[in-house]
Amino acid sequence: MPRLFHVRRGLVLAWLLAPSALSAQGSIGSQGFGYPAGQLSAGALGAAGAGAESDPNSPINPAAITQNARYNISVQFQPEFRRTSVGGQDINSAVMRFPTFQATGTFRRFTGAVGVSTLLDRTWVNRYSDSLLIGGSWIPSEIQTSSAGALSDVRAAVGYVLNKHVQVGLGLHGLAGENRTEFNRVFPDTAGVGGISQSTAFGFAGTALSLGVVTIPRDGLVFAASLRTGGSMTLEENRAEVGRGRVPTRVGVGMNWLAIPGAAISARVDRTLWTQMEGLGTNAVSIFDATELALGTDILGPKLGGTNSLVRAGVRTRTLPFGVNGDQVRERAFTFGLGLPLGRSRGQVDIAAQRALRTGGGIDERGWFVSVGFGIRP
Amino acid sequence: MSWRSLRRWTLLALPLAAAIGACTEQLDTGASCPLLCPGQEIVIRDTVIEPAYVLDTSLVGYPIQGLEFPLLLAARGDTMDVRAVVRFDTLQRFFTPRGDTLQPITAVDSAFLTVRLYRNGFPVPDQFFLEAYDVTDTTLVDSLPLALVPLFVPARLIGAIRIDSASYSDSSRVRIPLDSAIMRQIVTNPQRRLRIGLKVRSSVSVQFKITPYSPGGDGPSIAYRVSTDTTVPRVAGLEPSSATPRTPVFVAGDFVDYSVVVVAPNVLTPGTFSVGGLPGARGYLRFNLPRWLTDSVAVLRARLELTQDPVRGPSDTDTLRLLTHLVVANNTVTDLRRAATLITASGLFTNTMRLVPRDSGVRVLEMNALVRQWGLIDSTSSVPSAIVFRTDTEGSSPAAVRFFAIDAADPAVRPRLRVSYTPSKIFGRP
Repeated sequence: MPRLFHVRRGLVLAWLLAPSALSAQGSIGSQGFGYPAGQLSAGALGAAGAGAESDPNSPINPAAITQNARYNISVQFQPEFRRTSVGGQDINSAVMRFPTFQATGTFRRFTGAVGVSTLLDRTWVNRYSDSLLIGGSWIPSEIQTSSAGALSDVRAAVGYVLNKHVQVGLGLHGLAGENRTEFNRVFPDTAGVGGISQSTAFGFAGTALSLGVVTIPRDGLVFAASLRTGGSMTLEENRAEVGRGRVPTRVGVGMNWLAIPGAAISARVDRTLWTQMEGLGTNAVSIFDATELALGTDILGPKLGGTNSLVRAGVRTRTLPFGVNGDQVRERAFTFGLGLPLGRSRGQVDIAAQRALRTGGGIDERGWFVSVGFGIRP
Repeated sequence: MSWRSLRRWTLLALPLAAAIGACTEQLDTGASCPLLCPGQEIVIRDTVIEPAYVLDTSLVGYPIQGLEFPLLLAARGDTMDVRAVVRFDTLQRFFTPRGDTLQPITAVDSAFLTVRLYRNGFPVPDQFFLEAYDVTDTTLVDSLPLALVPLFVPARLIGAIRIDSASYSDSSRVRIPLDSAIMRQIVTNPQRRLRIGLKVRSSVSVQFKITPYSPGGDGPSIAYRVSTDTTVPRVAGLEPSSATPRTPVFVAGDFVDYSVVVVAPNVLTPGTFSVGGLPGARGYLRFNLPRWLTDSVAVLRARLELTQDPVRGPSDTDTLRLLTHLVVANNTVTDLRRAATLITASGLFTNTMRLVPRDSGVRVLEMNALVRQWGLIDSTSSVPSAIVFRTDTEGSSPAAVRFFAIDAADPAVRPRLRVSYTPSKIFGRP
């Protein structure tokens, strides 16, 4: 009991020590309504998300949850460190995310899951200065703006094992979230110009339905596909509706192939119709549909406590939904990961590192993601 | 691997992850904005509102009688003559001799009036006189101080002192000896009051200020002996008091001491409004800003441009501060002179201008904070959007400034309100 107490205290302490999410909008990855975190678990991200369609901890395919053990809880922590290069100057920023949480349970052929994941993360702070022509004089001003919050995907899913070759799933999604934005522009006291200060709370609300299937036509070969079809979504500004669109439809297909014993190759294609969100924003935002291609591998690693670890690697290319100066942003990523089984497979720690390269509007951005996922199977 | 190992891994991984995030906090985006920070730019529009307001006028007679601080004494030839009145309506008329009981005062000796006199920047003549007159006449109306002017005659002179510049020390207490015989008549007559008119006299222009009465302060006081027995303590430090007017109640205290402006230059001219001078004038400006300005846009800068018209006369090279007050009197106060006293502290939402009366040119009052405040007020509010100008030397200096009004003959010098604003916009929506 005392030891358990110490464990809990350590967990709480570690959680409290974790810094708050801080980043800068001044990055090409977090334009518009924010950065699409991908809804990938740390395990899937290690292989570039190539196996996400059949990954039970990635809240994409509701049929995939049947892959989980009887009970499973997974949570993920994912800091990103960016460097944006503009005009020969590098700007570093960082953001910390908790992109997925999910709990699953199995009853006979049914598996149920509830979870929340980050669809679009819009957390940033930026400070800069400029000058404005006011009354015929150029007046310097300082701008400090920030946004905190995200559009989250809350999913309740059920999966059903038809037979040993086919599993199907159904997910109900509630898309909700809030962006709390602050805008402050201040002028020097001596300028005789009043500043502008504004706090706004934007709230999202939408629903969607997802369907999925996982098939295993023969040992070592898995095909999976899923579809999320969006219902309406509204954007409220200080509780007054200012925009209406649709939850972006997403369709994805994936394949896992155990090419040689101990090594699996995965591939995934994903298409998200982000332009369905167009009615939520102003005319100034440029929205694009996005395509994602991923290729990865999972290789059995050394045994830890009698269970094999996993070594993962992958490559991913995708486009981001929100453009820079009307130009769509492209992201390429190289990933590497480890899966460490714990407690005779009663727990799992997945660690992934991702190097992302983004380009758009003539601006380059490089980012490192470190993703740590914890899975517990009580 | 056991549960113990799981705990170890967990305990190791979480602080590690926290540490990774903790050491990278970086807020300043530097050069990436505004290029990568769309939607944060603002559009600025400039406009000039003419006429800047709907009403301007000079309201004369400030401070209200009895509230002058300090009191002015001036004799500047034909251009200026300002005197002061101090009332001692309550005098000590009884005393207790040593070893005896309370008795009426029958003898008065060595009486004097003490005032604190300071020059406040005006040159001190080689020689000047401070004269005290008995200006008691309870039949006169209290609120008409000029009615007392005929009482400043030699027959009523009850004391005077000659002061040389060499012996004068600025801000010193000056004792004016009072005629003992007259004082005895006053003190021994229970019906008699003592109201002293103070006047300064010199062969050249002279101007001083005296500290008015305030409870426990350093204002005027009188003292006198009540017995030839020097062991009997004198009546000392007797403070001013006023018994009239009896109605309204509590007003009498305001008439303890006040100024009497006998002669002063008139600075009021058509097509202008004035602030300062003697008697003190306040400028009252009432605005009727367009609704779009207060309701629909964010005002960044609002500047009221006033064209100063030079004022020539006494103290026209003095620098004075033009204070701006927000009027809080509502529309039920139809007497503007009274409304101009129901005001906030100065400098609230506006700047203070330093002006020299004989100067001219455009003067700017920063009003953006004020315009914003008016925008916050309920449009159904009965408080008008108005400001009052007054000088920091109101009632104690002849210095005055004058501005062209909205009905000035030359449109070029009329007041105008220059506004820079940005149309209202909600930031943060992509």
